[in-house]
Amino acid sequence: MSWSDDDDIEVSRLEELLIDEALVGLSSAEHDELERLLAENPQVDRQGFGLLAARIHVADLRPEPLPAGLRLQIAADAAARVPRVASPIVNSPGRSAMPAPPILPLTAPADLPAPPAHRPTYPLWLGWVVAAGLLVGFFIAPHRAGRPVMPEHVLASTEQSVRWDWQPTNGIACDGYVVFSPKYQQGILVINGLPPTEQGQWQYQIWIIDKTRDERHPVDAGVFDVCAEHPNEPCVVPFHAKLPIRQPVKFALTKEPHGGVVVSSQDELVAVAGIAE
Amino acid sequence: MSQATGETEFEPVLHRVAQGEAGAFQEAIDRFGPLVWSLARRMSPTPSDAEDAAQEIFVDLWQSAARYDSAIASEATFVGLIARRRLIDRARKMGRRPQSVALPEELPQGTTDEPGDRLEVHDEAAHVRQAMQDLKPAQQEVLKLSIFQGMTHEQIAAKTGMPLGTVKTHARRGMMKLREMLAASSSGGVS
Repeated sequence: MSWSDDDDIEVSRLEELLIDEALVGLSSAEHDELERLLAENPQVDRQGFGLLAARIHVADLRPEPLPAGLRLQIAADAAARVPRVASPIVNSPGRSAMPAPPILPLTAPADLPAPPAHRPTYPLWLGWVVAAGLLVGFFIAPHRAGRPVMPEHVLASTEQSVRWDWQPTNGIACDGYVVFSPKYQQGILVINGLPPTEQGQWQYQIWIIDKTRDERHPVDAGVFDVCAEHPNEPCVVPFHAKLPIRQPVKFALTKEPHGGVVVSSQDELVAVAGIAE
Repeated sequence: MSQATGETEFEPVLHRVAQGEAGAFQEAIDRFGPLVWSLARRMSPTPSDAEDAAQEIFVDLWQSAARYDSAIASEATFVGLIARRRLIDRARKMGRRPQSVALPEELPQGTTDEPGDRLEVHDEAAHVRQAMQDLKPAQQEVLKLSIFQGMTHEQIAAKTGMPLGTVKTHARRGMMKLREMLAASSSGGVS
């Protein structure tokens, strides 16, 4: 083993600060001093020692697989934060291309009446009816209206936000989760394993069961497609409820004719997520 | 990077991420997720903290992807830089240094590694390892504790019994020497 004789190595104050920044970080005062020295020495490579430390660290690292849930969250966050990230969703033929939705704060809806103190029970619901409103391809409608999309971490951090894992049904092997914020009246669903839709033929429809509403009348939250081009990528679908949701207790996905339905036969229930009955 | 091991280089992905190319983000997550997670686990106090850190690192990566320059460093090194910056910043804000994973006393020497076990190609790791071994023992020890375990100079001084000033000197001179030794490398070398 050869040891280098480096007792004569002189380290300038600028180099000291760059090395410390790369290894342990700097205090505010040190950071200001570094910025001043860098301004005086613009030829110096700001990232050099940081890259060196990273190179050393990475070279000897044994990678560990990302936990599946964390991977989904990172993918969903990427899709929500970066407007041009394409989730595996395509418009049906005939629809015009949509501009990327801006990611802007959404004004919270007006306060909703408080839910009843007594919590009704929710037997398995049948014969769904959308309470009101037009059925539109909901992934399209809010964006045509210019309604901004909130990042998942914002939706998940609000009071009374919910996050539930999807439970597959009818033999469809899917997994993922749904996040919904009553404050922003927005949600994001992340799901793996959904079979691709047949464009123009059928779509997936999102439903929300609200504790404060008749369970026979789940609220429509829109329809979406899944394309076959990215079979291994999770579907990341921002959605808005067509009606105010005060206290979501369940979400459901069904397969419906193109454009969605007012009343679902429930024959094609794909997945559910929410409070167990 | 060298092709001495016969491994195939990945096609670069960060430029495609910067351009918002469909699929590039997923590909980047697939490729760098294990690296980011490993770094986060090593430098975070709890698994939950590591998860938060990993998410923040990827956000930083999406925002920084356009600044990647393949002439300066490999993508893995660049991702490591982004990750280390975030992890060091988090540790400073939390006011403590993380050490959530018990590390072996000696780092693996790499001679028994399977080629696929290392993120970098085998000869890059060997090159870096050799450079570290060429440092003085005290410098090696300080830099291993600093880089691999994320310790502060103060923690290193407490652990090793070295005066704080000596720790800083070893760290700084060690890095200067490593920079000199690795400058000739074409795989992320620092000039």
